[in-house]
Amino acid sequence: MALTDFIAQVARDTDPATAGYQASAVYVTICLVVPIALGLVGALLGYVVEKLGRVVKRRIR
Amino acid sequence: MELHLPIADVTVSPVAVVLLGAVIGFLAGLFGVGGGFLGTPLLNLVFGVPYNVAAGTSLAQILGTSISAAVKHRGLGNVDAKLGFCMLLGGWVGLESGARVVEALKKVEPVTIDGRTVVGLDLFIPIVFLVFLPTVATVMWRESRRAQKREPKGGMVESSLADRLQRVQTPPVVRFASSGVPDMSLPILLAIGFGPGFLSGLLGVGGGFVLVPTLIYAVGLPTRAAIGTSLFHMIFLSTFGTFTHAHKGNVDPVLAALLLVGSIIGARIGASTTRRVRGARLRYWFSLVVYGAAAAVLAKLVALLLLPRMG
Repeated sequence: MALTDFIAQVARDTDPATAGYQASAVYVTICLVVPIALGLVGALLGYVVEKLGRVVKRRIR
Repeated sequence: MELHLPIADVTVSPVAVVLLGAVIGFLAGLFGVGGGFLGTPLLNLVFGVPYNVAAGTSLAQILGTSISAAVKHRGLGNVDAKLGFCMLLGGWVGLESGARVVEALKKVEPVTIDGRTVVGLDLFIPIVFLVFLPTVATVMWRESRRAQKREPKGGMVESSLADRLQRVQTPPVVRFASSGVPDMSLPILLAIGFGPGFLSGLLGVGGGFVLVPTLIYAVGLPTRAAIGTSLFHMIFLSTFGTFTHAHKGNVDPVLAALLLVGSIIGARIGASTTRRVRGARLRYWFSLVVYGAAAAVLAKLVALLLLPRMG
């Protein structure tokens, strides 16, 4: 799958100095942006759904 | 349909992960806890995610869930942002201090039990949990059972500790108009924030089940406001935790995203449920969740100590 392959690819940079691995800046950014963005989108969608629900309830009455 | 996760290096059913996220999210919205004490062991036990990745991913999930749930609680008037910020300063210092104690404990010599070497930290942290969690749960359980008979809906808890702390008026004194808490001394608030932060750093959890009782019994916040303010506070603590874990390669963003799809929906349902439940009843349920967390820790400690003997 393209998304998981991409994350696996950017997750770790080989550090030539130590021949070990370190987390790449792109990976750290993804790890922070994904939950923040999903949290905000979820809050927005929840707000929209609640508003729509109220409108539908009022129409039914 | 199965999905291979690149960082955790396991194959999971996305539907099962979303369902687990929904349960954790519901608890988060209802009780103001992140659910790390539940999410981390379950990711490890059910899906075989390594503990370090489970802990890091759980923190990323807590970050998204607490944003969504805190926005909902803010809409319900349950978040005192000023109080959250005041305690956050103490919380960060506490978090760093707790993390340093952990680093110091890592240097303690391992002990040998039935020929198996056990790191001191693996013994020390569950023991702290087992002293602390049942104490918090018992205090809340007893108080909430008494209060269910007489507390008005959404009312404040009668706490002698909060009364005493509110009488200390060492400047600067901060006013909290939104939550109805009397003016409180900033140094006292910083000290109160330090405690849950320290335990978070020491025990490696989000700290909601420490912070909510602290806000109720030490600050005197009504239960629903304590839940909302705890979630607001957790946004900042979990951002710091996610960043630290991501640096170590311990966060699986795909797994976190799947958990979040479920937990965001669960968190909104949980937050909405707080409107229909009395504060004392919420604290009573919360105490049962904390007892459950203590039982999970006890089971883990027993396994650590007895399994080598059985093997």
